[in-house]
Amino acid sequence: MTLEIGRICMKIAGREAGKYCVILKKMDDNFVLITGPNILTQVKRRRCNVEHLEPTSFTVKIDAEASDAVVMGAYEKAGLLTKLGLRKPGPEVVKEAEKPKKEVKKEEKPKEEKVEKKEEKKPEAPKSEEKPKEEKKPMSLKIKIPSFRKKKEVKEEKKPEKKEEKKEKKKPEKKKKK
Amino acid sequence: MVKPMLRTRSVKRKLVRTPGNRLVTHYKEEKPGAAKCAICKKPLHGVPRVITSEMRKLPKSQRRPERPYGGHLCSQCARNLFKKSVREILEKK
Repeated sequence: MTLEIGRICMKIAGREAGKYCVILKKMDDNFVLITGPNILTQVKRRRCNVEHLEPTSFTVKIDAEASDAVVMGAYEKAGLLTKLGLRKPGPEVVKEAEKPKKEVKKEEKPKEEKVEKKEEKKPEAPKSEEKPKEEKKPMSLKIKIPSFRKKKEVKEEKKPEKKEEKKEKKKPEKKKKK
Repeated sequence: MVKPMLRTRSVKRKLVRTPGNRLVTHYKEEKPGAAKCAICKKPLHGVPRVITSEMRKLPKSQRRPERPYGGHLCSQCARNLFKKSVREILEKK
């Protein structure tokens, strides 16, 4: 069976595996545009690798890149809803799918952020004058380093003294026991 | 004396020298074996090797692949199953 427009396939790989879809368009040697549609079989309208599809013996009569509503009607005409064991979605689900909700909200947010960024840039210019002051700090760090070295030298001197004391203490104890 | 649960020799131990120059045994937590495919017995990808109590703390999407039979069959065996279902069962109808 070939992967022509209107062929019904099962997805084999990915999270939509085991679900039916329809081929809408051939994009490439390796890729194909498919749709469930999403309301019917939970397969989104998307590009799909040919190796991730297993063609069935059923076909549907549609044009290339047909809309989801048209594909739904074609399913019913071919009588495939009962053959494939699919449930027809209710009218409420269909209405919600047709509304483009999220696109409007996304456009508003980036505009507000851009205005804030421009305001931030102006105070940054005076900061560039302050930066040379920050560069001086590493100089102060260099002065601290010799102070650390001194401390280490002091510790090294103490250690050998302690060991000598311990040795002296231990020796007399042993003598007493003997 | 350590906890009675750690006294089996199956728990991995490691000798560690402390800053106070003592030798101390550190006990490693036991890891379960890797999850395997129910058909081909190969180790599965995407299923972490952690104790069941740790597994509960993970989000569900990190416990197994989000595919039907995910966490039970490998991707190849699942693929063959779907192909079979299309070729055999559908065409009898």
